[in-house]
Amino acid sequence: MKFWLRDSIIASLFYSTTFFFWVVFIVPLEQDFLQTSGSLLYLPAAGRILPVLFFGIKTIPALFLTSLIAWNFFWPYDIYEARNIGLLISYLAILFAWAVFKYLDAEISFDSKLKLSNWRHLVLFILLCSLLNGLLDGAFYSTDVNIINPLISLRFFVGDVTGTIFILVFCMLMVSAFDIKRN
Amino acid sequence: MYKIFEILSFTIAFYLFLFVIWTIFITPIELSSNALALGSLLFLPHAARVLPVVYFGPWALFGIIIAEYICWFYIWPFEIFDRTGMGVLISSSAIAITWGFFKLLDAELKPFGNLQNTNWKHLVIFIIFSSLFNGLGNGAYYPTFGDGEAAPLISIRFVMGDIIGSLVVILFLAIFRKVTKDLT
Repeated sequence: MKFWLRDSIIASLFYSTTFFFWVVFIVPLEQDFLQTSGSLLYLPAAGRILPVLFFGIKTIPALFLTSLIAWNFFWPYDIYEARNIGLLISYLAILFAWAVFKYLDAEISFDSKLKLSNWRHLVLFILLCSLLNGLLDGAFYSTDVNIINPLISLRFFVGDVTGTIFILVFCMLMVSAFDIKRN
Repeated sequence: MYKIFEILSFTIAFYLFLFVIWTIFITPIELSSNALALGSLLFLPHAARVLPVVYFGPWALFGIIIAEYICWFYIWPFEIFDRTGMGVLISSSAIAITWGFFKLLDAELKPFGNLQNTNWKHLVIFIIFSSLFNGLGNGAYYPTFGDGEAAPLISIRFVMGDIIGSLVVILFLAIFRKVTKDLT
């Protein structure tokens, strides 16, 4: 219970940080050409995928709650709105990807076949999560806003992949720069 | 089969990443002058064409073609210029030709070959050749078949943009590898 609470708080803080970095630095850059079909460098994707990888699926409730708060109370632009069901679908995509890896006996952890310390395995998980999120959210938003736009899926996928890799690279640099040890 | 899937996945992810970084951070700066229409001077995605082929082999070419089509036809948000399918094919072919050229001369880049992919000087030679082929091919194609007027500058800007963009990415990767070498 103590660890669940600790990990959930860290995961929520991580999501909030990526969300605010994205809102403050990336969205203004993209505003000139940002389409309603999604950001090309969606940093919060890292905020929801990486904590699940490192802390496990027990952090998903906290992450979902943080996403709801962030999108409903802190999103300052009118370009587009995220639907709560859309957010739920994003987390279901992660759960589904995690279940697929688990079913294939390929769960990613420090000591298993697919390792958290191996960038290739991380990228595979990120790709699967982004693909599922793009497909499912693309299907949902296309029907929800009554505009059939097949580009939504593709842009969600690209934005999630690039955003997550961007944050991963940034975190690796930070961990190395400050010589943070894993215990 | 798994290896091919892995190579394609990483190549596409790497290309998408560099393309988006270039689109968001470099292109808006270059847009202030109309010269971008003749080609970017810091075209980062060229590194995503060269490095996967050098490190993963020719299978990566398929990933490059897929990623180029996705990026240029569905992701590229500006109207300053449009890439055509043939232009994309020429860029990918430039890498294939360079790779074939090196292979023919028995100078394929491998960890322990005559030219080593761990030696940055050899890598730079590969980049220069591929950029030259790309610049010449696209420079010939766009003025002839594209909508724009004949502009000999296209070739030289393509070559410069590809070389500088690739070198910047390699430099970043080298620093990144050095900085994160203790991460396991």
